[in-house]
Amino acid sequence: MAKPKAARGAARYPKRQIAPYLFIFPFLLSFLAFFLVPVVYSVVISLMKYKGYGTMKYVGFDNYRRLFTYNAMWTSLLNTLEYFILAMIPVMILAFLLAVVVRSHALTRWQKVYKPLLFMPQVCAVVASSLVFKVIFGTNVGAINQILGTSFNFLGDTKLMKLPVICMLIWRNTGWYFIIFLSGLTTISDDLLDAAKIDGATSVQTMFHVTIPVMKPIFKLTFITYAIGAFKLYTEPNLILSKEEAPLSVAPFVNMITTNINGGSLGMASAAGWILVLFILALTVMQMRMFKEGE
Amino acid sequence: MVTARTASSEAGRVHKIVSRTGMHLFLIVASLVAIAPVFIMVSGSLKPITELFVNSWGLPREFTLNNYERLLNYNSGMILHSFLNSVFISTVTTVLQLTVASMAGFAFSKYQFRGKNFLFMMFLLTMMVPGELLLTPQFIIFSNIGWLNSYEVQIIPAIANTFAMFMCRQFMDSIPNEMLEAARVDGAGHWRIYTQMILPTSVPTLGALGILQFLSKWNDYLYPRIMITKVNYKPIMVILPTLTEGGDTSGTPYDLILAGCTLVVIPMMFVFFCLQNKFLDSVTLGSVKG
Repeated sequence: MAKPKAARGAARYPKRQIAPYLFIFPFLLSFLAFFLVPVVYSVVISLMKYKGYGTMKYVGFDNYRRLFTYNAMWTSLLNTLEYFILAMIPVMILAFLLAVVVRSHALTRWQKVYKPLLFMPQVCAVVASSLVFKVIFGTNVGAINQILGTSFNFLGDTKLMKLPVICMLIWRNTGWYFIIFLSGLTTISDDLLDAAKIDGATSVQTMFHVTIPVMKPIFKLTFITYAIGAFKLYTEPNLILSKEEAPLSVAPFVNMITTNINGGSLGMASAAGWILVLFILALTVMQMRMFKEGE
Repeated sequence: MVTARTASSEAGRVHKIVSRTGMHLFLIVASLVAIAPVFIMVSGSLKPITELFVNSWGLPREFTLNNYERLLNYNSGMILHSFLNSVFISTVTTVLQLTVASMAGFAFSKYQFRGKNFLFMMFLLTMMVPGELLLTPQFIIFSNIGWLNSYEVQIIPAIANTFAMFMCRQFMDSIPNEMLEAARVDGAGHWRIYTQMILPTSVPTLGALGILQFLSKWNDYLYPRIMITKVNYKPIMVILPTLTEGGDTSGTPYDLILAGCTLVVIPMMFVFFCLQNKFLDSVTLGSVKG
């Protein structure tokens, strides 16, 4: 009766039974009610004009068309891209360098000290960190201005306002990617590194010909997760640069959703949500392509 | 020959020491930068506001607990209330998420059944969908069923967490089937196998997952900001940015805000330093193996 091959990976229970469905039921129920239904509903609303009360009016793709011709959307999109790229590059470079250094033989004993210290910013709540950065970059109360003896208006001068946000993104995210890269580096066996050394490779050569190629799948994954996270940026710019929602010139894309919800344009808010999904998808596909070509 | 060799090994040793010092220097500077904002936050929370304007980053010259006193009395104890709201919401959500996710993960890992692959693929695909998309429809639905401004709106919709379910399945795949088979032969039912064999074995994974889920709920800002307008139900993260004093809406009470930030950061920091490995494991849960 028992056919081990057929049952590989799962216990040999008969196929027709109710138990697995019962185990899945609570998850499935809450998934359907709070995920699938809202997703489908948001497609419907995005085609409607709806204020949150009264009747819905079907307007076709009007909401999308209006958003795409709307300056605010492009401004906030470009802002988001700016935050994304200007923070990602230093985060990735720093995280990788830190991981390489901490992984090197000479410092294995010190890993226990540096790992938690470098990861610590990630443990600080985003809201709290944003508010602290607001203080650090303040004109009069700010540590930066006090140390430099200057009075830059980091939080009000349009040319400077993105800087505190980018600094905070770098500060908070580096530790996370450092840990990811470090655990990736530990999968490279010491034998491989020793072999490279015996063959006379310098540490720079080892880095480019051994470490980086082995790490490639991890880089790929982190770029994608970083990009998705970056497009969902909301709390940092809004709380550093304002008490509620930052001015348009520095606002992230998600503000297109929230301001429309608050303003009672729920159709527009839904459409903005789908545009966000679209951008995330496009970016993911683009990055996957880029990495494929590099191979 | 001999001298040349010692000279070169001498040079090698010097080189090693120099590079090691350089590496330490790099790491020390990075660690200091990582710590600095936390230091500024804690020490600032112990200074009177007047000192912040002249000494925002050093140790407090004039040590005071007045900020905390004012914080706890703020708006008749609103801070403590919202802090407890956050603890309650995050704890209950995490427990429910892990329960539901581990049950579903168990079914996907250890059973064969009709529709299994379809369901699993459907769940996986949805991991790409950002929660921000759901904000608008959820806002409409919840306002229609009268859920806005409540605890349930902050707990129940978050229960089905696909990432947690996926991680549970992945871990449970590594539990040998022979073990469950033996228990089954001994007469253990499905539920008993789940509670007495699967769950105990999964504790390390569930712990790491739990930390991750708790932190993300604890830190959540956007969702409660949209769904909650009544102070009674607000988590502390929504309250902190709105602190004002004396009806003055233009001036920001930096001292009060720093004390509030310290209040939400320090407990997490404490847990982090006690459970470091769990935290660090939680980072790589989804990224390296996947």
